[in-house]
Amino acid sequence: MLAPLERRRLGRLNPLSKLALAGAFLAASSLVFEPRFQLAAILAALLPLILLDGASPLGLLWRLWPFALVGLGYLWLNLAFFDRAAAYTWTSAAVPVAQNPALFAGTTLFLRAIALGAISLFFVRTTDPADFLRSLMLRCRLPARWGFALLAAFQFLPGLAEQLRLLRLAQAQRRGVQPQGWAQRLAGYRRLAIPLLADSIRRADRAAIAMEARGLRHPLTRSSLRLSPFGWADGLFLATGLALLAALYFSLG
Amino acid sequence: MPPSARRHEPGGAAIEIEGLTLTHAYRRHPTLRDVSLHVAPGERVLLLGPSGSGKTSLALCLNGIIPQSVPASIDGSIALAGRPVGKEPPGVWAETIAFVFQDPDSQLCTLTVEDEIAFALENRALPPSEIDGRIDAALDRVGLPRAWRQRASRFLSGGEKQKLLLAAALAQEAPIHLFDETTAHLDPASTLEAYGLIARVMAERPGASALFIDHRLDRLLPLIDRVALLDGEGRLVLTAPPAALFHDHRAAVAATGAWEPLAAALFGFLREAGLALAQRPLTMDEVPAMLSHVAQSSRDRDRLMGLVGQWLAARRFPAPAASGPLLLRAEAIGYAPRGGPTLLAGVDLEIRGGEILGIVGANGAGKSTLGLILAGLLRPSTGRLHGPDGPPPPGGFLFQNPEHQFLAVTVAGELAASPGAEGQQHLEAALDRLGMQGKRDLHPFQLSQGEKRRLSLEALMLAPARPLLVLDEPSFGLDAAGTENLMRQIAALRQSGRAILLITHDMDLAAALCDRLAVMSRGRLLKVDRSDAIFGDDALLAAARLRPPETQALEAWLDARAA
Repeated sequence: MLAPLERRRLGRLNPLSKLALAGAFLAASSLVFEPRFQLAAILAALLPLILLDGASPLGLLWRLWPFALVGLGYLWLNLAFFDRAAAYTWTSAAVPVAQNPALFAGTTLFLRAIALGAISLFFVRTTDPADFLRSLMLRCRLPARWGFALLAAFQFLPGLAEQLRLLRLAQAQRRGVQPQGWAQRLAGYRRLAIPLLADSIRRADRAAIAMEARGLRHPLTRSSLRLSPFGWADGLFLATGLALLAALYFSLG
Repeated sequence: MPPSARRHEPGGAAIEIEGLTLTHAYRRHPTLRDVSLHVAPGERVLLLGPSGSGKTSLALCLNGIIPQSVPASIDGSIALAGRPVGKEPPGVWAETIAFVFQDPDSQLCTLTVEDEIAFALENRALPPSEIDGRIDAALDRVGLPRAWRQRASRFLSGGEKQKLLLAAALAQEAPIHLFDETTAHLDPASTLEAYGLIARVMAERPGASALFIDHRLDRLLPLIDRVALLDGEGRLVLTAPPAALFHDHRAAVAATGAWEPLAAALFGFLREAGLALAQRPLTMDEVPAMLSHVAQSSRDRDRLMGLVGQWLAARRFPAPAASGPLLLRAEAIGYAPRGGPTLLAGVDLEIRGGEILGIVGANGAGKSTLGLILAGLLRPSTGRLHGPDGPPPPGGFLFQNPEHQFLAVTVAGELAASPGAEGQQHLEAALDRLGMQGKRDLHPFQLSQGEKRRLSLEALMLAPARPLLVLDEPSFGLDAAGTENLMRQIAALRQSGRAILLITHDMDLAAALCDRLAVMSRGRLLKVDRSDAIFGDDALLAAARLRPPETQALEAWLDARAA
């Protein structure tokens, strides 16, 4: 089992330094059309999680399967529509690594989808959402009411699925029949929208009132009990990460 | 410290409300009408009134949330601690008044315990070192361990969340506290703990004023100096100390439809029967000793006992003389959602026609999940349901939130939408039963909470061929009059031969209505037995985090005297 976030090495880094480096890797991964670069980006994102935070490799791969599924779609499309993929590959890639241009393009897109997922996973698994939003509020001037509204939404989301489940059960039993076919199901969802919306608005109202009653719109600038500092570890993390990115870009990009 | 022993501090009022009339936007009629109320420093006032009397609206006016964030027109004036509440943002009043509302899940503003307590203090720009000290002090006061500072608040139980919110309110160190139905979502044991905690922390701050909005009176009244009674139209009918209000102005309380303490109801009944009683109890704990005293000194001892027995019997809806035929048998029922934890395991249960079976237990015990399975809305992961001759009979489920079940855009349409309830005759009879002929064209969402609940139950009843009905917390949020109506509706359902499963945290409701109780804890059925046998089993009640009904001590007294 993983240790709590604050006790893991990557969890102690400033969220904004992780955001900056993850942003740089995401941008590079989106721009460079080269499978080895994408593979290196995947390893750069996952190896620190495994080596420094003790994450399970299989667990990480399990979380990446939706991205792999999207990537497989790209791969299949390129193999199925060879000519168009080839044209794209010859005009976009400086040095093709595969003799088959369709396979080259498909593999790159497949790995890119996984790379984007792996980089996002790195950020999400190492960052406390409250710390991240607090940093955005205090260092990037995100208005507090937006920051705490996002936190409230983060707390409400799991409950929303439960509310929808209860609504479907409640309405199905009133009608006495389960909706059959797409048309009936769509109509059913439309009918669920009003009570779900009413319930969500009421919950949001209650949360907003509770926040305001506790001084959210106070005219003073908020203080903060704790703010993730920028330390030497952040400097080392950023410098190492950016140096690695530059090396990958110039050698493989 | 009892209210009488606490001296209100001299000086200006903590809360001064003068001639407050409030009309919400898009409403024709005022919610509050010409309300004037003064609360002295150190005074604890209960705001009492029926559903829709404007209690929460009044609370939200105190710091300007109404009308600044919730649009409304207001006449009159409000001052807190001598400062008029004007057009400043509501947030500036957080250092003067600290709120605790009813639903803990909707009030949590952050993700961890320490962030939750720090939230209001950070908004006031207090230095981190001071915030840090106040967090530890607040945790100590409510009895939450300091080691929980980093714990995610979503993993706390309902009672722990409410303790956390109380800690957050205490950390504000405000001279005024407002508690708005703070225990409404808690199970019986957590409710008792919460009231005990509030009593203790308020006793530690004798100079702090408090305004309570609540209807669970029996545990709260020992804290209260004065009660302010609102009627259904939002008028302040009268303010008086609790004993004077509930014993000397009983008719005024009853006329509003607000709750009254059971002890006052009993003594009122005895006085109306002609007994001269000088005692004015507020809690059922006081009653046996007082009655013993009366019995010793009274020549009407037998009559007194007869009347007490009569009062207790009148609170119960009689069970049928003979149990009905077997309706549903559950064998080794278990449930675990896909990829989730086990919510229910090994439940064996028999339900008979014409009985009311209560399902009771702590928050998260699995009561609603079992109810959904027995009503046929959830398929059990393990085990089987049998009817008398094969498949289980179709059931109906009344959800906690009645809005979930509404299908139509008018009250009349809602009743007509029940399968099998077609026909003008059925519809008119149902509207008459509900007393909603005048509201037939309103949207169901526009009804009061009690009316919504009764409409959803009536719509469920109209559907034929549902011999089993499961009612999930049907009395939640209802006032005395609404609960009385609901109880009659449920008792009438039993007369029609249907079986009712009543899921509730209200032990007095369970004692009044249920023939048998099924006690649940952590997804398991601990025991099914007659209600009186369950309430007599202290070990079982403690294991399931339940409490006996408030009338239990009185029944024991009566039994002892009769013996």
